[in-house]
Amino acid sequence: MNEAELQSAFEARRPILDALGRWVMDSIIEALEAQLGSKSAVSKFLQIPPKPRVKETDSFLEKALVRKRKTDPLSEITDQVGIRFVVLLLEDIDRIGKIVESGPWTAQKDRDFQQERLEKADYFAYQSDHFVIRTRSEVTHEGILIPAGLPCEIQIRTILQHAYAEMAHNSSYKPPVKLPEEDQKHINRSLAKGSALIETTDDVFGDIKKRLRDYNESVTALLVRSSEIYRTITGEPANPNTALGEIIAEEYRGMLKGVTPDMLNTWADERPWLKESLLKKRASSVFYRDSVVILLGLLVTENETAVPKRWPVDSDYLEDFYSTLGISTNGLF
Amino acid sequence: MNITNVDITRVIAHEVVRASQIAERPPVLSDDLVVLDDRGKALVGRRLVDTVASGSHCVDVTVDDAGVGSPFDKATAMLDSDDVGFVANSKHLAGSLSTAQTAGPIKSGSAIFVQGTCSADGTPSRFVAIIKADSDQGLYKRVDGESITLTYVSDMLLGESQRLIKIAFFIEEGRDGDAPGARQPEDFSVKVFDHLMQTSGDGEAAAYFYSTFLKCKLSHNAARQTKQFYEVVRSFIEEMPVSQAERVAYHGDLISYFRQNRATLEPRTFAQDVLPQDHQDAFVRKCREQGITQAFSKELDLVKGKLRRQSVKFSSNVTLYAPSEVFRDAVQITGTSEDGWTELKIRGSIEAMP
Repeated sequence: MNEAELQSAFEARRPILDALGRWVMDSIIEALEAQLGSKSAVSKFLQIPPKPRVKETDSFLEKALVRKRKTDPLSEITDQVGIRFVVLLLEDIDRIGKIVESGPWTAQKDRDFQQERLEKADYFAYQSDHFVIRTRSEVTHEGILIPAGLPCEIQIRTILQHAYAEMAHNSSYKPPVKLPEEDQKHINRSLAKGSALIETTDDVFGDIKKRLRDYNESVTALLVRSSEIYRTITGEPANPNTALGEIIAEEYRGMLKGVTPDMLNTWADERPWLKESLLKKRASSVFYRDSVVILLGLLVTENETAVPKRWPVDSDYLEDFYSTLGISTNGLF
Repeated sequence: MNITNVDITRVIAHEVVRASQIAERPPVLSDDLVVLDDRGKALVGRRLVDTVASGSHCVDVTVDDAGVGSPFDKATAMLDSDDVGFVANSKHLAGSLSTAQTAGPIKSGSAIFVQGTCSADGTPSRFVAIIKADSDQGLYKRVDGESITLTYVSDMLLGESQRLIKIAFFIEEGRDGDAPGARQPEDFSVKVFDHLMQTSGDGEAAAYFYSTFLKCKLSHNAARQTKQFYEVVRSFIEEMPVSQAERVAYHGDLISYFRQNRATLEPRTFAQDVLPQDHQDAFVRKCREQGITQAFSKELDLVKGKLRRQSVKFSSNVTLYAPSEVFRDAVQITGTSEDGWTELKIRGSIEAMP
């Protein structure tokens, strides 16, 4: 195929590539929506709205005929259409990666920056995950027939990696002006430093997220276990997400440290009289219908002098609760 | 003792007066059980828990006289008697309480007899409680349309103040055989709450309720419990994450607390009186692990030696002694320097080298 034939073949294909790009993007966003729960959660998750981009014809021809000579460029060049997903955290990259790998197409990972990091352990440069997917069979999207085997490239990176890539693209890969060799070396060195810094910062962001999540998960786990125990004891339905539960978890954050869900079971098991008490009390008091009383019971037992000092609602409830637990309120209220 | 699930089954109240008043005007002894609504029962239950449950100031007592006709016999028989017997025994006991009220600042008031069930340390149990309740004064608020009227009330019972009640609590822990008739002290855990016992020692005023009236004596374990508590406090202070100088100060506080004129010791009160807030609950937990959950009579026999003087031993083998009442005020540890010296300030000048 000569240049003119290749050019017209590629241009004829452009609307199809465009449809392929949108089909892939829509499929991935749909899967994200299912995982994150809403459209707005997805738009918060994606730091830059994704948009499929069909390669410029000249850029395609240059790649096909000059830069990386191909025997069958229309099949071999994999980035004729591409979509870039920019996310906040490294772990978000994996979320999209998994969606890509399980999509209605064949997927192949072309670049895996985690792996590249290990292979070139003392080298800092562009980092991004690249996938190439190909349609398994014909697909019709928005009225356009997409043939089987057509490739689409998907890039996934963090917003920091994206910032680096943009900077590097302009100053190293395709600089607007050609610098003297000495100056270019300085720039390359600075880019490596920037890349290392960005990798470090991405890790730090991940740590922050993990710490927040660990705490939230541990508090949620306590409230959930509390409601399971309550349900088992009373045989009544119990909701782990109540306003009172939230207030108590917030107020006694410091005390929750080190409390595990299993400690709640042990606490309840040691109190066989709890069933009768709860059944009797819940009939007339909304406080005792809240399953957070299990968690609160453990907190009170372990911190009987400190709990009243921070009690966030009417103290009558807590005083009555002390009596229910068999702990004297003497000197505490 | 952990008391939960208190459920009240029978209640009766009588008037009690000072012994000297009996001749002037015999106290009113009721023939009828008191009918309490649910909130009334809940209030009585809450007062019982507050005064005898863990963290309270009640103490275990030992029954001294369990013979036929003794207060123990009369009280425990109420558990299985019919209403007529319940009323008769309560009247008898109310009468002897009036007779016993001879000494000190005793007011007339009411004797409330409560029978019920509870869970005592997890075991379903029956109990009888005798509450001597002094009348409190207050104002009764009534909202009538837009206006509020306040009416003086002179005979309010079982308000918040624990100073106004004394309680004897007989908790049935078992039954020796099937024999009907008189009960054995071993079948019961007997607890007494009297705020006078916390402060004024084993004086006549504090003793009349548990001793003259109930014919009980303070638990014979008092000396051993006091020593155990002392050791728990010592080891807690030893493990506290504070400077050595603060540790010495806490040790001084411990000694002076034990030497104070108080008849009972109780972990939570001790923690609140002596330890900083951040360590109070850890201390209460440590005591609970050692089985100390409520007050006990202070009996210093086994710790006297430890309280007489306070000492500090240094790594250089120097030991500093002082009578404990002097140590706190006359010795100040000001700091430890990096070169291994400790700086002290001692009040007074060198007087002699004996």
